[in-house]
Amino acid sequence: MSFQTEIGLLDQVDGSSTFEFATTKVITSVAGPLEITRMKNEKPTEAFLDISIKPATDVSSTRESFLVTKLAKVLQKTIDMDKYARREIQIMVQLLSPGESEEYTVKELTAIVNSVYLSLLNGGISLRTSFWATCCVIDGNGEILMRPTNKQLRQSVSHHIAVFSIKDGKSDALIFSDSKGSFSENELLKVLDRCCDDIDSFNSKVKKVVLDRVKRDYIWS
Amino acid sequence: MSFVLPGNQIQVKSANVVLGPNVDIAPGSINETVLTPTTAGMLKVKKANPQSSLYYVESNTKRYVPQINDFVIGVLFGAFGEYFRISLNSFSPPVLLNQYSFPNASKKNRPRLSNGDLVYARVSAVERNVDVELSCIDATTGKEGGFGVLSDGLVFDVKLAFARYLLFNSDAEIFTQLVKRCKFEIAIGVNGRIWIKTDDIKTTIACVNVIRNSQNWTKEELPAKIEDTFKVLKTN
Amino acid sequence: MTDTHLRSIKFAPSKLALIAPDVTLKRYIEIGLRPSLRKFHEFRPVIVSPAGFSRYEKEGKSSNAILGSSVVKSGSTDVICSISAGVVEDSQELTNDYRLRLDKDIIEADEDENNSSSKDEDHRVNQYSSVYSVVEVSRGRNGPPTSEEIELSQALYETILHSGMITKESLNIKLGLKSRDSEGKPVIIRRYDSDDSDILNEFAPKKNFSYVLYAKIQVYSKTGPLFDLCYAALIKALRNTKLPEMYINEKETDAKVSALRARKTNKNDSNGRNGSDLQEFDLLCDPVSFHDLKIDEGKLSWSSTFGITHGSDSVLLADPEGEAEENIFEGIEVVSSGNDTLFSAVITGNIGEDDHAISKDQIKEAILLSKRRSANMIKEL
Repeated sequence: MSFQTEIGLLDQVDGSSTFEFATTKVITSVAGPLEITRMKNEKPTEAFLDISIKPATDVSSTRESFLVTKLAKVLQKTIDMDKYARREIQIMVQLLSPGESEEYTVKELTAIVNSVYLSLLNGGISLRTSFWATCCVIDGNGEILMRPTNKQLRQSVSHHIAVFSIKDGKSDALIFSDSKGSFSENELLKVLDRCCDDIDSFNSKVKKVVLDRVKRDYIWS
Repeated sequence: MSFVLPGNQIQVKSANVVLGPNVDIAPGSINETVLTPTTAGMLKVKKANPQSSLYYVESNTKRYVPQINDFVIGVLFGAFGEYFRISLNSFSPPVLLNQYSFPNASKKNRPRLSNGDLVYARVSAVERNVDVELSCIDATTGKEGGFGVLSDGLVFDVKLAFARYLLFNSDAEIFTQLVKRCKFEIAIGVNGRIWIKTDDIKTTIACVNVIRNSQNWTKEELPAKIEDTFKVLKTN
Repeated sequence: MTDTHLRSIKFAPSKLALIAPDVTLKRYIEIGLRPSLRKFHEFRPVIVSPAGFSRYEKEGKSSNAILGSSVVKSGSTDVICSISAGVVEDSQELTNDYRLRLDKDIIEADEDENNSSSKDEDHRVNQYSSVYSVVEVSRGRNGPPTSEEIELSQALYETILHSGMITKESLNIKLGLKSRDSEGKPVIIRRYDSDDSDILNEFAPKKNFSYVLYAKIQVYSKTGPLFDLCYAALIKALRNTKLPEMYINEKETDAKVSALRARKTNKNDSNGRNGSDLQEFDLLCDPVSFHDLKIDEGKLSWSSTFGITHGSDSVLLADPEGEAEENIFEGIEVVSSGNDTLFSAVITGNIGEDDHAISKDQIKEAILLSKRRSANMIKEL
């Protein structure tokens, strides 16, 4: 029902974390703000995000490129991009266990978004808001199952991921959602509500793990 | 002091607010009475002066981002024109140090520095889109003020938050303990570098070990652990 | 002290549009117009037609390998889609993809849930297939695909796969057998010629083959949201796609032994097939006869894209077009059939500053508009 995470486990990067839920596990790292590595990527008014996602097996394909564009959509509005004009922020994602068949990407994207969030906090990258992702499926009986197993996913009629911003410990605005399969309008709205509630249920734990990490940084005081 | 995350809304009571590190005006708050932290950490409020209060979030990071009037230790790694190129942090953009930013420097009396030299300096200019500049002249007195080349000794890295803590708390427990045991000269850069010099190498290494390791020690275990480190020194 | 005045700088509207497209757009919206002069909820007209260059659409004998085609025009944009196909050996190997095997975690987790007997066929996703599409947006030079092209291709693939429009079954190849009849003339015996089925069962290979569909989508002079146009082009092309019948030569079936190849026996294989696992067959396409690609008519759908701008009011802009509108970050993209079913919904929102969060009403409105649009447009497909 919950997740495991380890924050700040890598030495050579600014921020890092692992994130694991329902057999999906991912490790991410964040480095920045760096000097731009390729001049053509330089943006005069905002940061350039260099994101790369590596699958658990095999090399990256279009499937991973598509995940990169989705992740960039989330980060574009949540990272304070204006603050890092002409700089680069590198985000590396390595999947350790996909936890789903390759036809799907919802669970991976959920884990990636959450792990990147924790890494960004760990790296001290300026954020405009907190955010959190969750995913769910609708099964053949029209039942909504949050954070499904791979089997539930494969038998589902539709699958959904939603990322919400978090304001004062409550999920606030919908930043990104992606739904595939066949579903109705009402189901979509219900799914968004459920995802919103699900994210709320995580907040206290997220706060605790980040606080633990911060305390560890200040152990001497 | 409380733990905050980005997105938390900090209601500000007084009208005059100074935004410190890691604090920004909350998106959407036009009248500027709501602040939000930009990263996770401990929110601190201090009186900056009688009228206004300073809000900032204390958080440890690994990468140093130069801020004006920070005291830093840099490594010289190049020179061009009348500037030296200084590295404050691995993989971060280099910063500049003007040759004339030394006390008493003139065209005829240039400071003699070579690659690899350590410099203790103050960040004198941070402008958007322009290289950061350092200076070895004290801003208020126009004199040396302790800045300049650091010769001999040993430099090592610590957490940024720890370096800040040591720089701003010269009465820190670790120093009172060290002072009892040896004589030393120390320079602390908020870019996470500490330079230390003692009379002999053994003591230097002991001091470095103590300071570096003490960032992972709790207050309670500090005296005993320092004792342990120095005991090894004596027996050898 | 000299007097200094802050003078406002004035730009001609055309210049301002270049410097600050967002400001221009806001001004347009405030007076109730769009730069394109369309109404807020008005879509661009789209013309969908078959391109007529597939081998079955042409007069006489054609030797090209294109099985279906379409052209979509909207404004200055042209999208040309062509469908081709390949043949692969079936199921066991594909569904038990080696990646899945390597991923012990998944399989173990799967087996835990299923008490170790996981029937892959039960899974909904295994009944469906998709099209591997390559989108090329012409930009006057060659080069590796841009992230936009990759995104489009992958989005098309995933949307079609999960919508269930194409079933795996419809891509199965029903192999015929080329033989000679009593008079010595060559004939092709097909499975559905019931009286000959005995012969087929005897000679036909023990394994299944199926088609894989490829689509090449070329986009010229891009304006507005491309996914909508590409999706329409792809479905139109699939609708007129015809698959050639396939047969094997009789000789090949005789010479089973020669086709044997040493190969490690697959222990996971429950069918008890071994040794002769990898027979080689001489599969041939029938140059004349073909059948239609079956598409689930109930799942025909149309994609609509909306941008959301925030002036004094939040406004939903259908089919954002032009620099100012295409730079809108927030948006909703809905793929819907004319009735209540949606096949994809992608919502991109902001972090909720100035209360500019995407509201439920906006989502509802977008879905309503897209349903109406779909109901109109699906007739064209």
